[in-house]
Amino acid sequence: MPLNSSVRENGEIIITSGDRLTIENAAEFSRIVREALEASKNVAIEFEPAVEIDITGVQVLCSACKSAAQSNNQFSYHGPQPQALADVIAKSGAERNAICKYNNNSKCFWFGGTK
Amino acid sequence: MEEAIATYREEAGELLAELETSLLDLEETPDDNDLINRVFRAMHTIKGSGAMFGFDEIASFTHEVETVFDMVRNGKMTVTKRLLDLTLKSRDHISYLLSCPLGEAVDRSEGDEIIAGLRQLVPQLELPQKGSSEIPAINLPGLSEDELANESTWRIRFRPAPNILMCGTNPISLINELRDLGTAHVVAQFDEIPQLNELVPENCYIYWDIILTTTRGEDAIKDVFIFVEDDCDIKIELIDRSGLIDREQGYKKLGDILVERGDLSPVEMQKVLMLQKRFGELLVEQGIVSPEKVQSALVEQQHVKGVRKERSEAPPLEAAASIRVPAERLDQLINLVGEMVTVQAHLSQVSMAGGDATFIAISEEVERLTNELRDTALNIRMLPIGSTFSKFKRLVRDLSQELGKQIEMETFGAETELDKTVIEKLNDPLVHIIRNCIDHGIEMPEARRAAGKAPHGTVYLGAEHSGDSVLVTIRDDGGGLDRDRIRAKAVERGLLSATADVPDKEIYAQIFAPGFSTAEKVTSVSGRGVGMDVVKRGIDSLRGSIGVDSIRGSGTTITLKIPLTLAIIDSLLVKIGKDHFVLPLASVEECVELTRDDIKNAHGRSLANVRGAIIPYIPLREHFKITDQRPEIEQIVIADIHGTKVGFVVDHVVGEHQTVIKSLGKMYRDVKGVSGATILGDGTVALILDMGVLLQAVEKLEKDIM
Amino acid sequence: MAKLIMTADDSASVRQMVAFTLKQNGYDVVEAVDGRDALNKLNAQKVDMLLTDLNMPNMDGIGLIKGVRAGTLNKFIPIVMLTTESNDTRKGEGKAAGATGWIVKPFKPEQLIAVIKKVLG
Repeated sequence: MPLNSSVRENGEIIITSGDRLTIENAAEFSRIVREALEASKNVAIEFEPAVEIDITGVQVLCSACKSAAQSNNQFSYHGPQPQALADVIAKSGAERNAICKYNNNSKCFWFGGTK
Repeated sequence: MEEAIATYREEAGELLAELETSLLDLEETPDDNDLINRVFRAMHTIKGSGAMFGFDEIASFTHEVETVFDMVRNGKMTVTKRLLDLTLKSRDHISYLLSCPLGEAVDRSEGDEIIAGLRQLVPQLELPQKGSSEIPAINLPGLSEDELANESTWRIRFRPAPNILMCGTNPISLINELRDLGTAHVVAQFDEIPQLNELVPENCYIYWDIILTTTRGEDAIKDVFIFVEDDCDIKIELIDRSGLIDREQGYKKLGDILVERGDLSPVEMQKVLMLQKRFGELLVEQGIVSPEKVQSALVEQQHVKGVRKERSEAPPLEAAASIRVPAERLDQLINLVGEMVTVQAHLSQVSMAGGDATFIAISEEVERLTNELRDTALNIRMLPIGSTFSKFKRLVRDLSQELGKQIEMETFGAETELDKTVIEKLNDPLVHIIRNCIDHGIEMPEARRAAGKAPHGTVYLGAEHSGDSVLVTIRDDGGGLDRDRIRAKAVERGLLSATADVPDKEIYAQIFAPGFSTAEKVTSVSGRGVGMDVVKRGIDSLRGSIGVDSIRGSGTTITLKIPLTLAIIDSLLVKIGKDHFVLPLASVEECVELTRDDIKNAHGRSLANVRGAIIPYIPLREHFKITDQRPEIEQIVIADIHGTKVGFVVDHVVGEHQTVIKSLGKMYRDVKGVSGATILGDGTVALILDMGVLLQAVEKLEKDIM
Repeated sequence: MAKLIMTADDSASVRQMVAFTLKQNGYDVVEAVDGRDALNKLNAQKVDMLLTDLNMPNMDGIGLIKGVRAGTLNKFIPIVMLTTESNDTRKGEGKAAGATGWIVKPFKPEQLIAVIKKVLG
């Protein structure tokens, strides 16, 4: 499924990752997530298992998490994290086990902590 | 390369012809910038390429002429008759140099005269003394470094320019280069990532703190950043050195590190110190320093402490590097660690539910320590697989003699480490496979000669790491599997349909079916049809998988993929009704929803449409006869089982889970589809599902019905 | 899959040498004879990296780099420029235009490969 968003009956917005979240489509990814968070209290990403992710993808996720926390929205993901995300987190030293002040002092379940 | 040199001669010839025309034209219109540029470019190309192909004389001579024309180009000199005369002479001289065989001495007198003449035209010009060919492009690793330098630890803060990603630089590859220099701890800092409405998605906001211990000097670190050093903020500081006699094992206090880094002022440090609590927590609590910065400083502290400890503990060479421990003590240790992981999960759950910050902090510390303890304990049980390899050498020797064959055995990857119990359980399957290679695989010497092969055959046995698994490969250069005969036999026994289009790999896999043998005569070694199914069972019990590949006439390769350890696995925790189940994460691909409508639309068949692909699923609720209320929306966990995609329907997917495997009691040993059990954080038991066996059971059931 | 690298150089011998070295090290190569040719090809084909000379007729290396960064298909690829030690200012211009790195001519095949590994990761 290409990078896109759809609204569920319960108001939740699901964003499908498509096959890449890299610099080539970072602007589009960022826009889709921003619009989703403006439209719904509850936004989740569904990753393709083989999705490619780079630093820009990580930055959009972190930025979205900060934005959601600020306005008390939910920003999360469904299903297991894709291998590429685990790889880019490990390689760039982005693991976070501690609480994050930008995420209302909750644990970071994106980059290391558990959901 | 010879070809490229010939092309260069040709190309330079053309450029010289063009140069001559341009120079003659320039004589008539000395101000024509286009012509001046053309001359410059011709010289430039002749020089640049010349140096690359070893025409050093041409390179250094042309460099002088080019330099002069660069000045003309930049308006610092004008075109005169004398300049044109000299340049035309240069053209002739280059032409002469070009005709000289590469590497032989040349007559320089003409060239020196021309250069002297050119220098007179620009007396103020500082002509470089040496030819261009001596300037190296970039320092190759290992060439210019003083390898004997002492091991030092460096603190690096790498703050990329915002546009670094847009210019094609991948900061992760730079960090990987640093990792290659030694031992590195990397912490990415996220605090500058803005909210979405201010985010420029292609900009780089993340910056990095890296602690690196290396024997290579500061230059090696700087070389990593050579392309970005002008526009990125890179701080490299020496923080520890093995050469310094340093008796104390510890390292600087956290506060001192933060002050050194500029993340904290000394005044603030004093203020916080007065409060007499754990320093890092206080800094975060008071909002003076962000948790990420503290984490990063803690990483540095740990890193240097670790390095110093290693140094002080490095044993004198003659001292024993290892000790012997009875195996059961290790097993006991693993069991205890398993219990610990379980209790820790419970602790985390309770602490999170309670919401007490101090309690959560302690629980997190326990979690970190438990993880480290687990990894260390599992590591202790790792043994190199090579110890079993040597046994097989003997087996090959004896068997081949018995059968009158000439067979050698070659091994690789003997140093690959695997859990002790896994190695033990691998023994039987490997014996069977190797026996088969020798008996059925490798032909008699005469037959090999007739096929144009060396009379002696070879069996290769090797191991290598692949992610969290080890691949054990057994390869022979024998006759290969007889695809058609295996197929015929499988059809005869009702294992395969006669007409179905089956991929080769699936046909070859039939050799692992119980009682399967295509051998015409039963030998003392094999052929009775027992054996290969033992392999299958053995590998299954290790939660591994088998792949077979074969080329008729040139040999067979069997690949066993075995998980590194049996004690603790990563898994997906799911729920059906009130019961929890655990699915090994290694084969899980994704989770999708299954609604009542989906079920209705499938007209009673257990098939789901996942992005256009039809995937069969097994409703576990029915399979386990769980009767309570079915939820409105169920979840399908899609798994890849030996290349087949199958869904398992559950009520909820709870999430990833560290599963400590407990074996089931004797009473339950024969239960199909359940490979073990685990204890969850709250004390309840969850069954570990064997997805491969479940799939087989359901397939068999369907066949029986049909 | 082998990575595809474009080499843009007006000197056929340099292109040959670069292509030969790259292919020997397992890369695929597409050649362009000048900046214009390179930009035309890059507008039609996705590559993993661009190696470009700076002095070329029909659009020089700087123009090419600017063109690639302003395009779409290959907008974010690593670009390495081939420069000579005599034009350090050109190196700066190239960086400002969006080049990722550089290699100084003359270079040896192993130096070229070292730089490529560095930027391709």
